[in-house]
Amino acid sequence: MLATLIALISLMPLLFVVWVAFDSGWEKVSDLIFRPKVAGLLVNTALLLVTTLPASLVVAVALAWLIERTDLPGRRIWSWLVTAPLAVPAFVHSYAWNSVAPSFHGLGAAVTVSLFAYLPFVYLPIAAQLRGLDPSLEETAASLGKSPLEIFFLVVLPQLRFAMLGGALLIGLHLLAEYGLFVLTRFDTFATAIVDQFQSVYNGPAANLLGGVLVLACLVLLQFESRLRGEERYARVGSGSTRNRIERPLGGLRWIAILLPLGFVAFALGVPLVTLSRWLYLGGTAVWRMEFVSSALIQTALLAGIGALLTTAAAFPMAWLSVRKPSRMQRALETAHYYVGALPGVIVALALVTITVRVALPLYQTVFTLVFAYVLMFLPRALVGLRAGIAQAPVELERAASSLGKSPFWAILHTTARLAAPGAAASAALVALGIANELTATLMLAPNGTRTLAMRFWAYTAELDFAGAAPYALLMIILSAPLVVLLRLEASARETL
Amino acid sequence: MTELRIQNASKRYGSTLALNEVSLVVPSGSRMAIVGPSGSGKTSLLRLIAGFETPDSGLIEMGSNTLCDGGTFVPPHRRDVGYVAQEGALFPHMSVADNVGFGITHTPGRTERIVELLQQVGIPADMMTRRPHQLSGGQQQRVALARAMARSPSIMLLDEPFSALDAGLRDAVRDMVGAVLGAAGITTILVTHDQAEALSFADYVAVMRDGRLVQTGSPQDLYLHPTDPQTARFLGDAIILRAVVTDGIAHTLLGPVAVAAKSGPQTIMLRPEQIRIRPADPSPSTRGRVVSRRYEGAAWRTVIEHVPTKTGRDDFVLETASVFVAWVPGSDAFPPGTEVSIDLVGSAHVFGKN
Repeated sequence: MLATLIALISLMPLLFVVWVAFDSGWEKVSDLIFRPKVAGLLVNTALLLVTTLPASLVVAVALAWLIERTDLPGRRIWSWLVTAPLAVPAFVHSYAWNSVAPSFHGLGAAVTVSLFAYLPFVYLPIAAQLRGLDPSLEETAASLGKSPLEIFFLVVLPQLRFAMLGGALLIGLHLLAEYGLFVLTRFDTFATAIVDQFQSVYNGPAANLLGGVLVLACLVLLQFESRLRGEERYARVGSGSTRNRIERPLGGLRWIAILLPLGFVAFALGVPLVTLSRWLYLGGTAVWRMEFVSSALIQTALLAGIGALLTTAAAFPMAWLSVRKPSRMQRALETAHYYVGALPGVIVALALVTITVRVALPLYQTVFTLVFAYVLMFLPRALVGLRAGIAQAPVELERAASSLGKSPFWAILHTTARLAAPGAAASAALVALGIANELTATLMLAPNGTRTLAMRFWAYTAELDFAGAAPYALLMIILSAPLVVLLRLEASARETL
Repeated sequence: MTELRIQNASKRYGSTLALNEVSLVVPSGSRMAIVGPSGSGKTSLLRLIAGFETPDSGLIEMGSNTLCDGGTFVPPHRRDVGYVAQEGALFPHMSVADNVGFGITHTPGRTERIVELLQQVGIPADMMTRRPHQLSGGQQQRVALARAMARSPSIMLLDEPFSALDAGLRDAVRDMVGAVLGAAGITTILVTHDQAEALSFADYVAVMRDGRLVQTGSPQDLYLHPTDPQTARFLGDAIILRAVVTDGIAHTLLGPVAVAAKSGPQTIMLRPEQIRIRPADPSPSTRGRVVSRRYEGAAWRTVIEHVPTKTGRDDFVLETASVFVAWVPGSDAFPPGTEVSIDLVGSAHVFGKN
């Protein structure tokens, strides 16, 4: 029941988009959508996707292969360093690039910065999959007369397909949703256009309809991915004993090969950190205006904490259902949960603005609405971690508790909920970190007077006060560091997909 | 149809010596089983032959080709070997036909060749479009064999390919594999931890322990004349006794038995089938008592405890304990507690006479 309710609520933004289309009437819709500006945005978005995604995949596969499958010096360190850019929010990446090379903008800049900011999303699953591959497949291929190169393309790469698709989808959705990064690289996407519209004319149909197109783009991406994925599963045939990994000696090429991770880390981690240090150094103590910094920190922590708690609580019924009572109904509900997570923050924000303005004005621009938006946006994140946690708690314990005369609710609370606690804590942490770095929806929904770290950072950056923004960037990076650790641990725990 | 020679091959992983100066010759067209407990180095040896690992030292030759010798190392894809992994290792993203055709170049007649190979291993052609996960374990192993045979290798390496199968299926698949490889005349090396499988499958058996090759020979030779008590027990139930030999007769705790050894104190071995028990009779004989028994269809696996007599000699104790196993025909009834007389038949094996 609860899960159904939450699923319905989470479908709200989607319903909103449909409603907007109907409410505006066909003429208005066609007026506002079939115009050069929208076409331009579509072209931009398509260009962004078709350049960033393949480039990310190539770089990620190359990095993962070098790090997991060769005798590259310092492999363990590299595998951490390559994941580390995740700790830097995307808009901080572009802030760094912007202050290093102010004239670097447009598609090239957008693609470059996106590549560095989002690559770990596709690197992590590919590396995990590569580690989990059964080495006997490659050995068998070798015994069938295939050279190492042929084996890579005929056997290894096809097995990485799902990891590549999943990672690329994640990056694609981020590209569609990201606002800050593209504003700073001066590249127009739907997200930037919507926020612009929204800031000039509150709640105009133009913004809402652009939102509708963006939702369509997301749905197309999701469909495309699930088409490519198909019905198949590459289940590992048999349980198999995973032997030592196959390690190819690079020989003299090692010192050339190392340039790839070195270059990537220099750009993806070096550029933000060096710029940041420079601004912090130049700004000195003057930029640390403690009354602003500490209030932003406290507000961020509060929002993140409350949001994380509520999101995890909201995800629990669905997670429990999907592990304990899988059914068609449950899968439909779960899909509802996920679809919203795939929707950009702008859409969720737009929907909530419209709904609160029309239906529940007292809630407009309140903390309640903001936290509600966070819950909608980060539900899938919480769901993934929780589900893994609950899956680890054997159902027998629940049954044993029931057989000892306890009510089902008591039984779940004292067995499964307790055992799933570590998973719940991890997913709550992931949600909290996501909220701490959330910019777009926060900008649109935050009550007057609210100033989170991201908002402060954004305000300073918009005024080109890079030094003033630096402390906030630094704090966000420090806050996000645990995210990297969590994601890495999760990826290595989930060796085989 | 090529002889395989391995000389003094050694391989070390970190601090463990996986292979210690192993030398082995596999005659052309023969079937060799390498058997040993886990960690004995048998799989490492197979992987050296396949070229998946490089030995630290030693020589591997196939016919007139040197595969591995200090400087030279032929990578696996240039070796003329077939390989069937423990669980088949079929490529999950390919159909059965694509799996089998993986090693065959795209030339006319490729499809016919795939059908022919599948036919040899008893997979009907209508399964060609299936994916590996749609096959049973036994079918997967058959396809894996067909795939490995596609390039007509000189040597086939089988890495415990039957161990994941159910007991009944295991025998059937093993017989099929033996027949197919025998018909093709391919030299075969099977690695297994199952001594019964090794003895029944191979012409030659090599026993490995702690990275060393302990003994090589025909199955009968190894079973009846193991080189030491440990090997004797590994290859099957063994009764190991101290004995005093005089004039070709070993006097043991369980009575006299023929041996081919010089006089003096010796350690001898009997197999359970050399023990005969009958209801205890009053005449002087070796006595035992049935401790327990297990019905296994054709025979009872009967555990017997030796009952000491007053005239017994202390230096004749069993090396293990005074409890041993014998097989009693299913029709004979010796419930636990029965006193029995023990006779020894055939001749016993004497350790360390060489």
